[in-house]
Amino acid sequence: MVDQGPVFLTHLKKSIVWLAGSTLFGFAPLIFLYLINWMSEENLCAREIDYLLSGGFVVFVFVALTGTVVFDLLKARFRVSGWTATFAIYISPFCVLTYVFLKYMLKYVQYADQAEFGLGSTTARLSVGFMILYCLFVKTIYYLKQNAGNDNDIRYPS
Amino acid sequence: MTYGILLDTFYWVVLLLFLIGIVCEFRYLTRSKGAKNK
Repeated sequence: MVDQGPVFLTHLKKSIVWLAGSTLFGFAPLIFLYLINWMSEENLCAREIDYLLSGGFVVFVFVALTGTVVFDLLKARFRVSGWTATFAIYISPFCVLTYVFLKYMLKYVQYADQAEFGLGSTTARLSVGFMILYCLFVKTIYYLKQNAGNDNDIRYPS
Repeated sequence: MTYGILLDTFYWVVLLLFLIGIVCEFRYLTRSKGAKNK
């Protein structure tokens, strides 16, 4: 059997770089606001920054990143090993999106805490944590399958 | 807070299934000849 360790690590590194770059790009407006805030004497953007963070900006950025990974895979039409993998790759991001939607709904029907999407809230931590794991591992799977040279199935006849 | 707890439970179930699925997929990938170092 061929040693897959180095291949896996190479693609995991590529995924980490992809995630870091995309996250930096997604957070660029917020970083810019922080920069303005830092340069100004009267903390000009403090209110906007608080508004963005408590409104769920961090969750939105990671939802967008997860969306790019999901649709990359859907477009490539990769075949996966079984129902658990199908669930993990194609269905679980939609489940977590539903979780975010329902939490938002609870917030707006005044059932949940109004700071539910703030940086330190459970919802933000859980959903962002899942999305980071999803982006890293599923992007690694995407690279591995792409590296195999066959877009439909990586299992070649022996 | 019943709905909140219910939703959090849903999240943990999804996360568990996700992790199982990812492990299965990696095992499938590393055992097949597809993702090989030529």
